[in-house]
Amino acid sequence: MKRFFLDIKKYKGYMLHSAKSQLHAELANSWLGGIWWVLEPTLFMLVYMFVYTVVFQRSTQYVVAFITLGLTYWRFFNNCVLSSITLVRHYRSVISKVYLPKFVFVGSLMMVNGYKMLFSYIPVIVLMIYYRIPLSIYMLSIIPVTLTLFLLTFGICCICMHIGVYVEDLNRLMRVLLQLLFYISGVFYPINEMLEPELAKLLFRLNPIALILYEARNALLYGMACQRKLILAYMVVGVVISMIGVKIIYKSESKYMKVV
Amino acid sequence: METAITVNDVRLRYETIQRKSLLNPAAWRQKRIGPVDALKGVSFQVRKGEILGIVGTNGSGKSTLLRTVAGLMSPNSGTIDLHGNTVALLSLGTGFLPEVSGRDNIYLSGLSMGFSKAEIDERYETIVSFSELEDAISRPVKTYSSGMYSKLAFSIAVSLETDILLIDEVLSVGDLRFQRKSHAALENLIMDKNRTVLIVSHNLGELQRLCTSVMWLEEGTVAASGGTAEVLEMYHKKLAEDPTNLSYLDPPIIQVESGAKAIRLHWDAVKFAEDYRIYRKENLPGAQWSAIVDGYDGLEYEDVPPSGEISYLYTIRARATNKNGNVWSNYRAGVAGKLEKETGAQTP
Repeated sequence: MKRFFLDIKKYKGYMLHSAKSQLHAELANSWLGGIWWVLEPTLFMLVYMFVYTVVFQRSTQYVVAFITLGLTYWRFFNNCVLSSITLVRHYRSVISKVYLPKFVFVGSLMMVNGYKMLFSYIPVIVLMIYYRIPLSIYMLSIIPVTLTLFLLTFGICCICMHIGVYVEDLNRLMRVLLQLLFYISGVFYPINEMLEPELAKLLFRLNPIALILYEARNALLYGMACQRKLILAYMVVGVVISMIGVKIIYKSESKYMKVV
Repeated sequence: METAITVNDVRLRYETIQRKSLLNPAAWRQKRIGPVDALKGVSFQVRKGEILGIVGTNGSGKSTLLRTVAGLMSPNSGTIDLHGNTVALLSLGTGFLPEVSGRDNIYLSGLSMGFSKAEIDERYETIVSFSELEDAISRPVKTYSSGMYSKLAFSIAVSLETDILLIDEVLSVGDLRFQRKSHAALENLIMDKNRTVLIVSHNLGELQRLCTSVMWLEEGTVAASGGTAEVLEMYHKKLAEDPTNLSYLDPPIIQVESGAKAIRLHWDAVKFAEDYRIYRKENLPGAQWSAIVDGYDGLEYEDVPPSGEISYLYTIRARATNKNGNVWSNYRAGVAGKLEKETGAQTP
C-alpha cells in the first residue's frame, strides 16, 4: 500500500488534469455546457417525482429534496461503475505509450463525476433553503457518509475495470445489476416507509447504497444522527475492497496490453 | 561514467489473452493463444550519455525490450533499473486522448512522464511552435490528421527532455520540411552527452552514424553487442545468408560529390529506371551491391543551398539488384556531402 500512496502523490497532477481536460471536452461539445450538470439531475428528479407522487400516490417529507439528494448520490455511483468497465479500452492509446498505474484512471473518473456531483448539489441546497430546513450539527455526518460512498465506489470501480479488460459484455450485465440496485436502494422512495421494518433493516445492513442514501437524507434533511457503527463498518468494507482492487490492478496491469 | 540503465536477465512472455463473452461459456475453457517468449534472458548496461542502437529482424524483441525498459510491461523475471532517471518512449502512434485538446494532451503527456506542471508551462510554447500547430492546439486531437498527430507527439518528445530517450523506429515524422526539422532536433537531443538513448531502427546507416554501440537481438536473446561497426558487420553477414531477407538493404546513401548541384528528391516524384543506379558513400560491410547516379532525368531541383554540409532524408523508389538477384524498391535514402562550389556540370 506504500506504493499506492507514492503513486497517488506522483500522479495526482495527472489525475487532476485528466479530469479537468475531460470536463473541458464535455463543455466544448455541448450547447448548454455546464448547465446540463444541473439540468439533467433536475429533469430526472421531475420524472421520479411524477412516478412516486402521481403513479404511486405517495409522498414524504421534503419529497423534492429527498429525490434530488438520492439521485445526486446514485448518479455518481452509477456513472462511475458503468464507465469503469471500459476504462482500460478508453485509455488504450495512452497505456501503450507510457506507464501509468491504472487506478489513476479510476481516480480521474471519480473526479469528473465528483465535480458534476457538486453541481447536482446546487438544487439540493436551493431546496433546503426553500424548505427552510434548519441547520444542525448532524449535517456534518454527510462527510463520513460521502467518504464511505467514495471508498466503496473506488474499490468497486477498480475491480470492474480489471474484469472489464477480460470480459467483453460485462457492461451489459452491470447495467442490469445496477438497475436492480437502483430499485432496492430507495433512490426515489423512502425504504423505511415503503417496506416492512424488518425488511428495511435487512436492506440497510446488506445494501451499502441504501444505507448511504438513507443516512445522507437523515444528515441534511431530517437533522438526525447517523448510524455510526454501520457507516463505519461500510467505510472499512470500502477500504478493504479498495485495497483488493488496487492489489489486483498492480498484479495484472502489465498484462492488459496483451488482451485482444 | 555512471550507469543509466541496467537490464539484468529480463525474460518476458506474451500470453495473448482473448476477451471472453459471458454468453459463451465454451470460450472460457479454450486454451490461451501463445505463449510467445519475446525476451529470453536479456542483460545489458548502458552508461549515461551512451547511444545504444538495437537491431534485429522483425519479431526479435526490439520493441518489446523498449516497452519493458519504459515500464509499459513488466518482465516475467529479471530486473530493470533506470537509476532514478526519467524515461520517454517515442514510437509510432501518439498516446493521446482523442476527445481532449492538443493543449491538454501536452500537459497530460508531460505529467505522465513525471514532469511538473511548472516544467511543462516553461516548455509549452516551444512545443507548440515546434509542432506548427498553433491554430489547432485548442482543438480535440480527434480532429487532427495523422501528420498533425505525429508532429505533436514528436514535439512533445523532443521538448520534454527526459534523461533517457527510447526511440522505436521514429527518427523523423511529417512532411518533407518537418522531417528535416524533426530529424535535426532529434539528433541534437540524441547527441546531448547528458542523455542516454536507445534507438531501435532498421536504418543501419543512421545507426552507424549516431550510435556509440549496437546490440543485436535475435529471437529474444542478445546475439551480439559492442562497437557499432563490428556488430553491424556481423548483423549484415547474418542477413546476407538469407536471400529472401531484404531488410539489410536499408538504407543507401546518395553521394553528392563536391562541385555538383545539390539534389533534392521529392517524395513520389522520382522513379528511377533500371539504368539509374545509386552510388553509396560507403558500402556497408557485407553488402553485395553498389550503384552510381548516372544522370538526373526525372529529378527535380531545388535552390542550391549555401556551401556546407547538407543532409536530407528522402524516400525514393528505385530498382536495384544484388548478387542474389533480389529486387527492391521504396527505400529511404540520405543525401550527404559537402557543396564546395556551384557548377553547371552535373557529375555523378
